[in-house]
Amino acid sequence: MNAYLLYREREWTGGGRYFEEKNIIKDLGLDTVFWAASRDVIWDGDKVAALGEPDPFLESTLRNVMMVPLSDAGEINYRQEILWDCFGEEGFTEELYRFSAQVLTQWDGLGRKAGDKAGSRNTPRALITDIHVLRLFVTSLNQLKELLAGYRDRLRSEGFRALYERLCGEFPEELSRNLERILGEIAFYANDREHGEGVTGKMVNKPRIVLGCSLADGLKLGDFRLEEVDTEVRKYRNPESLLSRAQNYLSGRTKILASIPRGTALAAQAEQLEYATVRYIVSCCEPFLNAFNGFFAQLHLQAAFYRGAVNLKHHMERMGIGYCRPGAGGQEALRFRELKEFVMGIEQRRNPVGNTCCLDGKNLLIVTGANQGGKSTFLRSVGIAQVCFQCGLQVAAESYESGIFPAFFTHFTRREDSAMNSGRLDEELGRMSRIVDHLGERSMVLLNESFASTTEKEGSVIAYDIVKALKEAGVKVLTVTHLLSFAQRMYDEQKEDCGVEFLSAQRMEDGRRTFRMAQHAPELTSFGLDLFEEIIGAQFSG
Amino acid sequence: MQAFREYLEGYLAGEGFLGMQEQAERLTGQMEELRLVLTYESDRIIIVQGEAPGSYDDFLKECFPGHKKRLVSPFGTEPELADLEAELLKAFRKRNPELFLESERFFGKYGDYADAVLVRFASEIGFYLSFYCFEQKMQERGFSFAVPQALESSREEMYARGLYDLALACAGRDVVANDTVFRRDEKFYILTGPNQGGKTTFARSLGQMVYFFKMGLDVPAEAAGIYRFTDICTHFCVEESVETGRGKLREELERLADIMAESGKGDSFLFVVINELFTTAANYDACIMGRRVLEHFLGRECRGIYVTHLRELAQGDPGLVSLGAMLDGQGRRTFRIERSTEEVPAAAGTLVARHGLTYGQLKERLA
Repeated sequence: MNAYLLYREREWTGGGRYFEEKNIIKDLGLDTVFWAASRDVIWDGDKVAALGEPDPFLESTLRNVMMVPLSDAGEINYRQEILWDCFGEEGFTEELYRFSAQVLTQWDGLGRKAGDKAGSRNTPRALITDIHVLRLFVTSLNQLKELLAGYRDRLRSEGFRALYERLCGEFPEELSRNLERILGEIAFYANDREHGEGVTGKMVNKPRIVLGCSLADGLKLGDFRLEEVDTEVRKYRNPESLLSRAQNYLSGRTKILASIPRGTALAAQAEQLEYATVRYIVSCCEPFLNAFNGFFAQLHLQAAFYRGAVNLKHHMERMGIGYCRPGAGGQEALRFRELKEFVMGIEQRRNPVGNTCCLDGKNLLIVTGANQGGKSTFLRSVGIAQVCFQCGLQVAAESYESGIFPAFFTHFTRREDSAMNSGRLDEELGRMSRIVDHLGERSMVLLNESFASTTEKEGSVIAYDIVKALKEAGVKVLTVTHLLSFAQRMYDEQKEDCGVEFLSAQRMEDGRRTFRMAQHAPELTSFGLDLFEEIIGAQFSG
Repeated sequence: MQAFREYLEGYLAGEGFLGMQEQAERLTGQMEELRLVLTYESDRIIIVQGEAPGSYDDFLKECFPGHKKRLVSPFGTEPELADLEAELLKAFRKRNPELFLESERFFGKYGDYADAVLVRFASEIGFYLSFYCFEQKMQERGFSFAVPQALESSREEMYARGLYDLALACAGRDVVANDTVFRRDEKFYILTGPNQGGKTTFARSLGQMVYFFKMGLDVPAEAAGIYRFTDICTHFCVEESVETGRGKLREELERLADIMAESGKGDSFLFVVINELFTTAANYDACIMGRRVLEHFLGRECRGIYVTHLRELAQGDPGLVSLGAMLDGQGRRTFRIERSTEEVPAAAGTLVARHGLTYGQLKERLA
């Protein structure tokens, strides 16, 4: 039985991850996204009262699932439909997640993880556990069926509809009834083991097993055929009492029987017979257990993804950041309206400035301009949006349309820690080379201030070579740079090429930044002069 | 084998055997027809002669079609009757004594039927049969076995063609076969080469060849000719680990001393397999010690292989043959072992070029 809530036709395996996902997470600040997904927002009317208790499983699930890109529009659409169902019925999403967590917790209590140890499987204790697990599965699956049936009319996505049908198909009424019957009949085994010990008059479970056999080699009993198994609930009667003994005597006269007095070797062997019978019956149920064995864990993880996404939605709502269902276009597509840097929004608890661009048909984007003008923020916002889009999540924009780039890479230098030594350059080049090794059919590379760890002249040459070669190989490159010789040279060569776009961080007449990007030839100056004036000029002017 | 067949034919035709066989068949037939129904209620079991078709089995089959489980008697592991079984039979016997009486009479007459010769044959044939089955299985998977020739050490050259490591083949891994020969006056192979290049595997395959030959079985090769060694000695070291120290070297030397003593005995003709000796000692020491060890063996009647990192040990005596684990043109391991005396080197550049990020290099990489 499969949950199939992350993919139409397969379960979650965790394979196919972004190359060097750690870099992507660090460069785009995605830890904050995972953090936000793990905590719900608690409202008090219109205001935010608090953040809920963090759920580490939500955090780790988002971290896990967001780092595997989907490969085509069909896959993305499949998840988006489910996501939008979850957004529409948040109560259901919470219930589904909580239900799956609960099943696993109860199962853990029955020793789910320890159960893989061989050797301990063939004991009466293990058998009793198996019976409890069987009961847990039957109960839980019926609960799940009820939950899904209750929301049936309100869930529109293919994912949830198919899940309900699949569940009804693999766990039909009849199977449920048969399992309940079996569990009832073997109840004597799982409930009171010492069905001999009792207080007269109390109700106890008495077993009854009827089987056929013949004599095999050595007069051993063989060729067992199970005829009947049952648990009778009867009043306990002391076997030593006069009444019991009289009854046994009479029975002995008319039937052939072997008595099994308590505490003898015979009784121990009788228990072995009980064990063998019940073990046989439970192992017949193995196909059922195996079919659902991995299901609950998968359901839990997949439900966690959507539950986490709902939390993200709440955070966006809290900041007043609009979100949308991104659209899959062709590889040349890239356009958005009011795209915001969501991570910054959460961290600084405000609604950041949005950017609106149409970069359709551009496969090289070079962004230059004023310091602190929002260039890196802009680049990051596209990176974050692309990652969210590629795993089926909502994007923090009014609209966002792009192609799918499973070979997605970030190469960021944080300006603060670019020390001027070849150790850093070596590291940067090494990272770049590894990226080149893993470029594929649909590649997108985000370069932020790359090769700033050397002189502007040398860095420009390196950047020029690399960016030119990547572009010619069909890789989509978005770069923010201070290497002005590089930017200028590219501009001079490429300005006729409509596949290249030059943006600049907007700067007003008086030096104010708007944090918006606009089409603009690369600036020769990065307007450090403004800052200089601001900080030094005012104090030291004549 | 033919003598055995005649004996067996005689035995089977004998009167005693035929009479026993006929009666046994009749009795077993009667027993097999007997069917009982047991009803278990925690403090007693009721026995009735009759059929129980197994309705619960059918119910389970309906619920879970295709399951292959069977209810097996929990007392089936021991050949003796469990107490419970004995009790049931006792109770049953009280009401149906005839069948049991006949069996008792039969046991009285034929109790010691086991023929000593047949019993011994049964235990010894197992050895040959199991090797034969094993060989068949391996041959089906494409591995060859050869009947080895026994050769005279003074006149003929010991050889093997298509020799491979049987242990590796059993483990399902890919094997590379090698050819090898000890020419006139050649006594010891010195095998060197890169790590994980197949040296230990080759040494193992040589050892296996001699071992299986001494057992009188086929060897893992396409063809082989082997001397009649009196014994085979091996000395393999364990993987190097950080805490090696004097303790390990001492242990190695003690084991080595035993082997060297073996080779010293009068008419011994040993095959020696040494894999990586003295790895815990400094190269300088290991070289000197290695030479002494080789001198000792070269001075006695023996053959063998010495796997080491020290190529220089192969020099100085015509009895020593230098073998190497070969790499191909791109520096990848081929796992072929051949006679060779050369070494293998490495190279360097400027920073960007070293990372392969010049424009020219990138165009090539991204082509």
